[in-house]
Amino acid sequence: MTLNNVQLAVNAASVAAINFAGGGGGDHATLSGLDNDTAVLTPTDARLTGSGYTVDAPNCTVVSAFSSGAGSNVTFTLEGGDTYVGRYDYSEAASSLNKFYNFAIGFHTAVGNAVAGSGSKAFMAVNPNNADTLNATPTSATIAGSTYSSRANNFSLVAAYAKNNATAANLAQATMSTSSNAGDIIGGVQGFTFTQGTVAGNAYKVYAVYFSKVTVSASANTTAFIATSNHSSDTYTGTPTSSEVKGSNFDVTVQNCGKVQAYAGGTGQTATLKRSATDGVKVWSPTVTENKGTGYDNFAIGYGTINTVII
Amino acid sequence: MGTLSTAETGTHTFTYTLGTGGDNTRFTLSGNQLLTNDAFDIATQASYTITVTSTDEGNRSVTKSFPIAITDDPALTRSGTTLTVTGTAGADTFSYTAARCGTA
Repeated sequence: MTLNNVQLAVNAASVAAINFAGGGGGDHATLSGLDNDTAVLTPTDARLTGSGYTVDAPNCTVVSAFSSGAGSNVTFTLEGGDTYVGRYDYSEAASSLNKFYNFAIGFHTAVGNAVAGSGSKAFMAVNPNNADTLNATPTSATIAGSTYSSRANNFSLVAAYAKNNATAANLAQATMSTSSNAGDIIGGVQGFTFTQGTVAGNAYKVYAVYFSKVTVSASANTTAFIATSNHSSDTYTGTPTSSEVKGSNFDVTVQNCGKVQAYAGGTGQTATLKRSATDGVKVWSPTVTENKGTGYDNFAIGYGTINTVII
Repeated sequence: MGTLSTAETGTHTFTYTLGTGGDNTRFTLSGNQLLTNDAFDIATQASYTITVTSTDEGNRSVTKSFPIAITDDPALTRSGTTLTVTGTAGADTFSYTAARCGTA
């Protein structure tokens, strides 16, 4: 243990808790645990608890916490408008007013808690070398891999990133959902899918960037705008409950949307619209066809070939 | 925590050895440097006595006892098992590294 780079000798056998009283100024604290520690980092306090020790460092401007082990976990509390970074290799919370910067590395599980509706942003990144996952609802987004998990709660914006041009070994997958409120929308193309709308009166946006396979669950109040890429082999398939744009290295599926508009991103592509025999089909033009039934309304727009199929 | 020296006329090389048992076990020597084996807690024991033998190249030796008083570090205060580290009014840098045993 050191204070201002001067070693402080402490008999660990006689001390169970350590409290750093900074006394003012922009203090920095570095808290290094052994393994399976619990860290709680807030705008005004930092606590690291491990086997046989608890260290508190309140009112520090900068806090760095270190641990390891599958049982290690860190929880960040943010103020309105703050930013959380949750990555496979570290996590941090930064004050929008430069009041604090809290950083953690080596923790298996990280959670960032924002003030709902405050404009807080979370930026997340999965391990680019593995086939990791994103699971995102309007109020919570979690990225996870074999060695980590990071969750962002109540952020106005979550942007989660995977590896661009991933290979078979690192095809990251995302599972997302919208609220059931009117006005929520989904956008999905190769390399980028988003959801946005309102939940509990607060606006939300979730971006999934470079995830190879994305599945979004929605409601009858949700409209989805999806598109194929410019490869001629890309396809669109729309059914009453599911619409999918798919290419050689991406797959975006939206489920249970009230309305889906699927656009061709290139020439010579094929769309397949499936409907029950009692549902309606309308050919608006040679390249625009609509299938409509109870709870769904699917458009195929710009496709060179549009097949309609009764199911 | 201290440097040992021996006064003898002429130029000599001295070897230092620590006594055995008692408070000596709380200390160690590295050449002429006196080191502690542990962190001391004034509330537990405020003073120690050690014995050091200095031997020159002619095998002549002298043995002396040294009292060692423990003083409080003004940055550290302890209440029960809670230790408070007090910084200054300015910007401080505090670092804690957990240890499996012994000192932190």
